[in-house]
Amino acid sequence: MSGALPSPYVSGDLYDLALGTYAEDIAFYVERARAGDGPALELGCGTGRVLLPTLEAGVDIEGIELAPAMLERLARNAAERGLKARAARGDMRRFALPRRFALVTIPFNAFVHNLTPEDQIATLSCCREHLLPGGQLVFDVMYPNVGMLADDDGVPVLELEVPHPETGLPVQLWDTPTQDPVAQTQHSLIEIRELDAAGAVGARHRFETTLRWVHRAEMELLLRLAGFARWSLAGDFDGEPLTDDSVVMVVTAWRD
Amino acid sequence: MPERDPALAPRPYFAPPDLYALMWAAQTADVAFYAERARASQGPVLEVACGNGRVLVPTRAAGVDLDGLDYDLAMLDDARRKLDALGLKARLVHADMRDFTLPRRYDLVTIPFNTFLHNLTQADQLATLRCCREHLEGGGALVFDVFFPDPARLREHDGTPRVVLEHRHPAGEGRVRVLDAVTSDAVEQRMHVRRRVEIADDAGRVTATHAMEWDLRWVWKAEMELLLAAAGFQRWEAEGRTGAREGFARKDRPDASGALLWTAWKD
Repeated sequence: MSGALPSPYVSGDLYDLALGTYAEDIAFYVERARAGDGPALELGCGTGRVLLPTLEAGVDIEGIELAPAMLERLARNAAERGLKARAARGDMRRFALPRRFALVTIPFNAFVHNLTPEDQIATLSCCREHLLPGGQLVFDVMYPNVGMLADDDGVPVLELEVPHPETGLPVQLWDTPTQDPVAQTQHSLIEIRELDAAGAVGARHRFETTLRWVHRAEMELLLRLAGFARWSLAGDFDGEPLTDDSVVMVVTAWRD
Repeated sequence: MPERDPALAPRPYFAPPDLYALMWAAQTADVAFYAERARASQGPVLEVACGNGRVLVPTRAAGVDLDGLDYDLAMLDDARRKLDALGLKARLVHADMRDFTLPRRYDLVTIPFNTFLHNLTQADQLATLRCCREHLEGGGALVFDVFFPDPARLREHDGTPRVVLEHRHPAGEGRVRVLDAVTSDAVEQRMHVRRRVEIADDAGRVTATHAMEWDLRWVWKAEMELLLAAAGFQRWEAEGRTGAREGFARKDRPDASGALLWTAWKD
């Protein structure tokens, strides 16, 4: 099932076309970075959607990203905004930077690309190693509420519709998920549709990816196994408790 | 008689022994599995939460060197009576699965039929697994089965009573019907079961009802692997099985229905 289509991260331009203006999490991450007593590091920084506004807020932040196409687009996005962004190609499971950080972040579901417990724990351990004492790891992941788990497989869902930056015509992001509740994986067939003036689909761009969701108690075990002793889990970016209506789990873990 | 541990709070199991036996009278497939697994072991066997001996008595009858522990004294007394009736002996210990100390080390420790899910916190889950591991010989195995939390079933946790068991009364006449009204907290992975047991005569008239309730905390597959790792195990295997009332048959791979049978080795 996997592998026939490219990953959604092969084109920074198409990524930005659909998600470049997504902003629900930006204020949260910028605020956490501003509140930190030292430099910040963002894993899976992509095209700079969160990283660039954080830089603009005056934070000393650097980023790591696995996909070269995303880094290329990030460099262009930074230049357009007159910013100098520090971002390097790297793998969240095994990176080594000379600095230690007051804040390490993994925004917008990047963590669920870790498909095995070994990868999950390696990522968390590597983050912890790069934290200053008292520093925080902050990340958000999809929350597998019962409604999501019981969703019908193979039904396309319109996730997002935004205006095309040049034409103003609708750009749609569709996701057709197939879930395996035992393996806790979701295979997503992703389609970006560019609509024409008549509302018909002009261009289609198809991708696929696999995510591995994490349940709450499981997340606590992962944090513990990675060496963290203190954390808090919230159900949204305002710090409300996790409930079965939550669609996101926001994790904060401290290095003591 | 098993000696009562005075340090244990009086915390009887949710069902008295006779009612427990009545409810599970028709369930034998998992008994056969655990008895066979125990017979194949290279040394002594410990059954954790052996209750009134549904699995323990037939296993002991198959000639296995077997100890049992349970926190419910009434259940242990009943197990003792059943052993006595068959002229069998086994060491029965009044103890909590989260915190027990026995002099022997075992080749096999078992926790049959969802009992592990009575651990309602992560601390309790880890304490139980660590304590079991502690009592294994090198090369020994912990074997236990728990239901898989099928998302389609979790959606049915709306408090509506549903028939979960129906079978002939083991005494021969009449029927036993068990209805569960389940609510759950998916974030805490906890379900609360309110159960009504109805005893009916052959004409279908209900002659007696019994009510009981208890909590369970379900465990996801990946989560269980992390619990085993955190408890010190390095090697384990999960096998998909049909439910104990559906033959407890081995599946090619685990799916969202039925049970997961776990084997974790102490290296």
